[in-house]
Amino acid sequence: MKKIISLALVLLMLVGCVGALASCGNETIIVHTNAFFAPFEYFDGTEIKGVDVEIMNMVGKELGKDIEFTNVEFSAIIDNVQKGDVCDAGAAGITITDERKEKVAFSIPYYTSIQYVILPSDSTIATRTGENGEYIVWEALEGKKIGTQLDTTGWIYTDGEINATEDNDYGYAGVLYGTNTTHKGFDNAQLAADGIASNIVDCVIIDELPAQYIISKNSGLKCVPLYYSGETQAEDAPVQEQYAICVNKENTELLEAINKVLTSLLNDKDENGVNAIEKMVMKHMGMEK
Amino acid sequence: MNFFSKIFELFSTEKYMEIIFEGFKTTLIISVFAAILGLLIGTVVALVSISEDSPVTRVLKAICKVYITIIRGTPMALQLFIMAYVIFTIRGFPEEITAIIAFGINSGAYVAENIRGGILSVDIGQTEAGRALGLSSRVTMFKIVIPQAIKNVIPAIGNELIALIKETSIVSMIGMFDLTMAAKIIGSGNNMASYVVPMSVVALFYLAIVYLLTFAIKRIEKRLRASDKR
Repeated sequence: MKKIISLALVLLMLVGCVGALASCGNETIIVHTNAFFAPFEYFDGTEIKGVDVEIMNMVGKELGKDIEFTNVEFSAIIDNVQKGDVCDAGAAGITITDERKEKVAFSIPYYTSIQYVILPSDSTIATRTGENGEYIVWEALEGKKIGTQLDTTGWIYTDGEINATEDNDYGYAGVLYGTNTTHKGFDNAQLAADGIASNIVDCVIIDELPAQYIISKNSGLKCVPLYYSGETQAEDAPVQEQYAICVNKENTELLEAINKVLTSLLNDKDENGVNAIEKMVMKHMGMEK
Repeated sequence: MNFFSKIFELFSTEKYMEIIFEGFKTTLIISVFAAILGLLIGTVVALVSISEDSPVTRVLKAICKVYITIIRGTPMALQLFIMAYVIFTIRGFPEEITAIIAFGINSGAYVAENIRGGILSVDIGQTEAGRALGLSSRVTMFKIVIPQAIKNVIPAIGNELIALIKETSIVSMIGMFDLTMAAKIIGSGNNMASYVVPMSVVALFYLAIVYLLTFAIKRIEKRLRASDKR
């Protein structure tokens, strides 16, 4: 018995030593991401690749440190960066929102995205046609089962439109409030999109580029941009947002380096006015000329 | 494309198979080491909880009781989450070790109860006979009771090991690259963009591991039962 107990103790101590050793090397910048968001980050084989990875590797070069990407649940990234003990930064196509700003520091925005709705090709949901083609307004989703990726902006907006009134904490009137619209959160957009075929949801709200990836591989689905409806149809505006990289609030050195890299990438335009980040997006979408 | 041609596509794409084998490796590593750790912890805890009362063992028994209650009473996903995000929040700490410890501790609680049950299932007459023959209580326990208990415990332990292997499928929650994660990656937008096929294929791999384990347990059981009249 004593032998077994001492063996167990020795094992525990060994584990502790390994941990202590591992924590010595502080030269690596650990970046948390959720690698299910092509083209910003995705698994190519067993390796994480994408636009965010390229940007962070440039930042690493700038600071002379190694960059290590770790894949975690999307909803955990902001909290992990805020605590700062397991990672320094989060790069996962994260949209700047006020709630998130309270917890972490954001870099300058580097990409503007629109929310898209994924629907079955033969869907009866009413669409409108504007200057840039077909789109859907929030009101058209009344009474539908909407699927989103948990904690993404699609989830936050949908939750707001369904639950917000001027009297509760949200402080604004949601257009779907009081209708029997239901909302389901999934681990990632792909799972939600699979839910369309199995009638778990009627449509999925997710950012533009992942939506286009999903519909390009599934013949029965289409995607259209999501708009807020204005007073008249001409005033309808897309649900727009800006991506940035988030950093622990105390790590100003890293934030400055990221901003420097992003500024130089955004200013690096070719003769058509396409900047280096948009080129990276196209490269990872497989649309490189 | 129908279901079967997609399965064929998955098996014939080198990139996808590489992802699956990477995940397979992680699942095996976590399962094997967690099972070993679980058996160790389980045996120690079981022996403590059936030991004779003394001031020292009373404290140990209380600790074991709390351990078993908490571990069996909370979901594995929560235990893994706490292990990864509260306890081992050390920079660069290998995730495999976090997972092995979390699953080992979880498995230990179940194994402890299985072993305790096995030891109690041996008729008290065996202990009495041993003591009457002048053997010490320790010798009676290790030479008479435990050898008989092991035989009774093997099916239950096998059950626990199978449950453990399948339960490791939640490690993708903390971002680890196991079999379930492999399915998620193959099913994600830039690969096959559908979860149904990769999930089904990965299920076959779990089935294969569990089948092999069941086979091994049956063999061990057969050997141990060789002397039985039943």
